[in-house]
Amino acid sequence: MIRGKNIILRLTRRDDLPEIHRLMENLETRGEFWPLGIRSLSKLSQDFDSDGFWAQDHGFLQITDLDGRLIGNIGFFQGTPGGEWFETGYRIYRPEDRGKGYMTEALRMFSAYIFTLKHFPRLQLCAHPDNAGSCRVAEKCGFTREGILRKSFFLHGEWHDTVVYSMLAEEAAAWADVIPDGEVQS
Amino acid sequence: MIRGKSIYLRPVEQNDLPRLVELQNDMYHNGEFWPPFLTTEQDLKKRFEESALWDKKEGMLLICDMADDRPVGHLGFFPTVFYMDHAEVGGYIYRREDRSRGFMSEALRLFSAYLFATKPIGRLQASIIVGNTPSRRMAEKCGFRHEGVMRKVVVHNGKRMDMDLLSLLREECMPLNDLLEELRQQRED
Repeated sequence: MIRGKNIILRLTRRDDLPEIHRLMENLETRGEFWPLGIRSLSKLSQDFDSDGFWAQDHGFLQITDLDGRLIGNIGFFQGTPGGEWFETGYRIYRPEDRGKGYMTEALRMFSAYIFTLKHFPRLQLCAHPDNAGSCRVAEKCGFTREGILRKSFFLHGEWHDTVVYSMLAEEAAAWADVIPDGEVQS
Repeated sequence: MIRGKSIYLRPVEQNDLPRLVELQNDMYHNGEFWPPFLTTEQDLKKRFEESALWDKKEGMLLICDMADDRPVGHLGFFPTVFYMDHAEVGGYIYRREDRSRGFMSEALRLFSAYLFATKPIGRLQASIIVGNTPSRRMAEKCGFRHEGVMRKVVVHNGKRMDMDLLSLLREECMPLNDLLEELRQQRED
């Protein structure tokens, strides 16, 4: 567990699965920018049983508030097969939790953590150009806008552009500055 | 076979493999920007047995000189990140003396038009190490447009290098039949 000022990042627990499934698979709360894929609870559980959602080259952590309420998740994966760098992705489960600064804190903590954990040069982040909230989170956390991939993402029946951001290892916040009291618990 | 003016594209055949291993492992000819990979015959054979190096999501075609049927290079396509339904293209001309002869730009135009004609993708992407001006200029001549610079995205010659990212959209690419006809006329002139 990584405790921040207003949020906690932690591994997924088996008893989270029904609630996470309900939150993730609800298309009505997904917002206009998140992919529309759906997955059964059985498949989600199988995936969880295989690696606990945390492996060498991919994984994601749950974001909760300090009372333990599930807010969203944030993770990393290979941005291109065989590439020696990672991409990050994140989402807030419920519309009412968006725009409250949770993800800015989560991304700041997560990027510092992942650069502390692994030796790699760049953390990439992709967002829909109209997703002002996500772009603002990226920029507030120190990610640099690198370009725009035209018509690269198929969603709601159309091709959309993708903005590419990255943070280099040397641009990441120091681990000690991100964790308010330096507390890291397993 | 996809016929152009001075080159044609064709799938790899079993009896090309020894030649390809020899051509691709010659570091003198690989040039400044092609990664110095060593390809074993075993690995190439294994990949050939799996897919004949031409699959739905990944594959390569040989670029052959129409004058003497010699393979002078190759072009491949492959997927990038799992959630994007596009393809990246990459390839090179094997030997120094075959570069700057227009082979690649003709090949890339044909290859792009062929991919758009056969696959439900909206774009093709190309990444070029920053500083590889001939390659970038060639891609732009084929209609690819610069989209950005990905910082430190590749290790090359022991250093982290930036790459220019370019793309060609379906609507920016000449339809395959029009291009085949244009090149056929040039060939016959």
